[in-house]
Amino acid sequence: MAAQRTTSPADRSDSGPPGKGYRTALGLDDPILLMDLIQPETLNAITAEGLADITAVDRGGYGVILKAADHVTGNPRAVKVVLEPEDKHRLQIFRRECRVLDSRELPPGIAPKFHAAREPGGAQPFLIQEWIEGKKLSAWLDANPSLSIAHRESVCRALFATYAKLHAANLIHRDVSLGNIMISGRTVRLIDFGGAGRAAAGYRSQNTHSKVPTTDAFASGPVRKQERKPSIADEVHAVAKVCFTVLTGQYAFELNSADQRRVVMQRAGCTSDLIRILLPKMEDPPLQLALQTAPLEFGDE
Amino acid sequence: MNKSTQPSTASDTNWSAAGMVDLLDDMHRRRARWRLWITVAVLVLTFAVPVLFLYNRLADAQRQALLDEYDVQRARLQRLPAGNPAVDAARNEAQTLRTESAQKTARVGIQDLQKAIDLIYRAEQLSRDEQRLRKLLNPVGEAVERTPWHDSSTVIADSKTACQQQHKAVTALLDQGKVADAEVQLAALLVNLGDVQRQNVEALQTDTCRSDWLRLSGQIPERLLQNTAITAIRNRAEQGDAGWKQGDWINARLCYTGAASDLQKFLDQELTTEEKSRVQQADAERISRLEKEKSDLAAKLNAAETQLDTLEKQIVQASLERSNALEQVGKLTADLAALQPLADAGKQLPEVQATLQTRTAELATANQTLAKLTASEKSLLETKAVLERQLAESRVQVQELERGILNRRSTTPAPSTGSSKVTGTAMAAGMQMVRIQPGRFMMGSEKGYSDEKPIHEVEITKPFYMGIHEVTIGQILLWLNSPGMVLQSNWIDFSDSDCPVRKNGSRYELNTATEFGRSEQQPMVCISQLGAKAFCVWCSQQDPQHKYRLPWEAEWEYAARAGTRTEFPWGDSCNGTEANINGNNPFGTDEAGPYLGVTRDVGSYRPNAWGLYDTVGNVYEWCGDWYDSGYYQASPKQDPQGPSTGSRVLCRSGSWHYFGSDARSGLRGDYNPDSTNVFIGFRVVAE
Repeated sequence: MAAQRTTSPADRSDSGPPGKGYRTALGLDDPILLMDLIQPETLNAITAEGLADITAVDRGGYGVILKAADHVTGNPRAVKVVLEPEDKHRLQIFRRECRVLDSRELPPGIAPKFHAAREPGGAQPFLIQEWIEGKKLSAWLDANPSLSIAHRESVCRALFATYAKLHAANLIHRDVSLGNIMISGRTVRLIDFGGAGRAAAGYRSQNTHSKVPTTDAFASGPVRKQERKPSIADEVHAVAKVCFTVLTGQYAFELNSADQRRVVMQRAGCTSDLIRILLPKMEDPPLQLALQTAPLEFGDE
Repeated sequence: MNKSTQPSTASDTNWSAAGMVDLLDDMHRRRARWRLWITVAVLVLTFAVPVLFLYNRLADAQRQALLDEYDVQRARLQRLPAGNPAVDAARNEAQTLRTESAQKTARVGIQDLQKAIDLIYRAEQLSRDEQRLRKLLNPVGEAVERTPWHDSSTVIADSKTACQQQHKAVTALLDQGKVADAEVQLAALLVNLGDVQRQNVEALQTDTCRSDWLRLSGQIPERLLQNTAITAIRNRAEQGDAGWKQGDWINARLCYTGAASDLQKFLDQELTTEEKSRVQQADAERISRLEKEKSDLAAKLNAAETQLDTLEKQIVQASLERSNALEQVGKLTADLAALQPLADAGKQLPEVQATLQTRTAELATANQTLAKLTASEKSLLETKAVLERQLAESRVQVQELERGILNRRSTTPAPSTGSSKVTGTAMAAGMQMVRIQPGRFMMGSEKGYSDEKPIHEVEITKPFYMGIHEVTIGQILLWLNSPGMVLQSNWIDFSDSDCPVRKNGSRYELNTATEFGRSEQQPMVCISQLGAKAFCVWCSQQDPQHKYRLPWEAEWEYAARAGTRTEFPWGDSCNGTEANINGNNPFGTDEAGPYLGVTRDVGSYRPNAWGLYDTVGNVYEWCGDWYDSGYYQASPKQDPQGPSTGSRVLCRSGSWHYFGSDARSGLRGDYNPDSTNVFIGFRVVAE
């Protein structure tokens, strides 16, 4: 599946089959065009949920992201509308995300707050959630090319801390990418929990291939090759690669060896102890460790 | 392949996000620690190094300052007399420390120098303590040696020997450098000496009674030696002898006085007229001999005093020359010190060498002169000490002679005039007193001032003793130098340049700088009525058998008149011939007499009929009563003691400076009780 859709491993997992470059070239991210993908019945259903001023802002993995305002409070809301709901896989991802966001174990302040999810008959299913101010990490890095290394380090720490909080709740994101991380100031929030699951100790069958999207640029080798489901160790591996990008502005997958990554980090001004911490995490995690923290599908229990 | 890329390395690490957070936090803490260390290191390098540098500079400066201080202190110590082993030991130890300090680090050297300076201080303190103790010890030794001890008493002799041995022990301790021990011993010696001196005063009083007895016993004719009454009297006197030897002074005095009194009565009854006249003649001869001895000794004393004055002038001159020489030596030494570096730097310069040699020669000459002058001054001081000792001895002899003469005079038979009977006796402080018997007299004077009127009859109902003389400076000195004496500021005016007594160290002495202090036999002046009363209290303590006090005005006039009704005991006129008054203003005559302008030794004029001297002139005499000008108008007839309160007190007798009219027996002078001047003294009475 990754081979079908990727022109660049750095593209988001939920960027859809054409990839970001194609989408931009075709004008598919144009809000007017995106709004055309929303059925009037769907818009009516959204409006019936007390929302107004609905505009399209982005395209997600399985649908379109709308921005709307609460009719009563005026607060902004994000509405994710599933395109092609007849595709069971998409619907499965939609429902999983809804379950994760509405789960009690999800710590506050990590993911957008869940407000409602609807599957109206004759209309597209949609999910209403908190609108997160800020920028995606990729956009934030583009907007701040001359950040100090200390500031970048603090962002890396915030990234690990956010994922540590998530993992402490026995949850796993399973789709670490620059586009799924929102940043505002030095606060980090995660979005797109469509692939999320529960982390579980003990042996899990590896025969069931993951149906969740991943971003190849940050996935570990076995996960990218779909040899196993992403584990906590794989997620730490992916966060380490994101941090590498945050620190150096380059993608770890573009460099063939650890020595090259070390050189790049040194040039970027990273200290030796930071390199010593981060560099091993960019290697594929050991199988044994990945097996110990293999995920359970949400709703499989 | 790099180690960090090894899978084993990856498997060893903690694959959790929380672990990564911990690792990153550890990393930040490590960095913060490093930052702190680096900051501290920079601060240390920035501040500590200069501080260390300054500290070392300061230490060097401190060491130099201590070296200078050491040298100053050492030089001061050098000026103190050497010879004390403890001082020498401390000095040597200090010098060793000072020498070694130069080879040590500044910090250790400073400690050594401080210790050395402490040692020098200690040595100086020891030396000064030694000098102080020696200064104190010398007069103590002189007191032990020169006091006229009545060592025929075993107690006095033993105590004197003990004091001498203690004195030697203290001297030995000082020679050995044991200053603290010596101080303790000296304190004990002073206590013992005070005790034995007190005993000696007791012995002096007792000795007078004993002398009376011995003199009277010498008048017993052979025919009466076996008389039983004489034997009984002798037995009593022998009890007095036992008390004399054992220090039982009161008993001894009682026995001697009783024996003498009984013997006198016995002799008055048993002696024939011829024997009595023989006795009187022998007494008169003895008095005459004593008078001659006294005048010879007084002449010798005057000559010695003149010699002493001359010597003191020479000493002052020598001291001045010596200090000049010392200054010259100091100056030359400083010059030499300044020249030495020049000489070292420019050894080849002949002029510098020549100057140096000249200065060195001058210094040697100055040092020789200084040594000569020091020796001369020392010799003069020794001569002065010898002379002063001789002078003191002569004064003691004169006092003893006077005492002998007085003994003779006071014990001459009572005058037949008046109703009172007079008996001689010895009292406290060696004072001679006569017993004044009760009687009546007419008090006041019609020729006098208004406060002397009216003349009225007064009866003295109780007998009392009255000093035949005004209290002398010698007696006051005995009081002032007595152990435990606490002087009040309003007793004696030492600030008056004419005060006949002055303080020298811890002792009081005759102030020879004033004419009022030429002799200890001059009457005491510059003493207030309060001081006079304090003296009476002391006398009472010395002689517990009697209570001493100032006379009441009536007692004084009764005794001064001695039964006469004239203005003076001898008649109605006075021009300074019969008494020490201002003869330029005579009373009762137009003929002016001498005006001495100063007090005269007591007893220099004829006594009145009852044996009292100087009841006219010489000094006013404090009385015990308050003054009231109208007191005679309604005073009690018997034993009047003045009004109950007042602001001024009475004084009688006139003085060396006052007119004849103010020296009459009836004159009533008045002064503030705390006033002091050179016109007023006092005499005491005892009950």
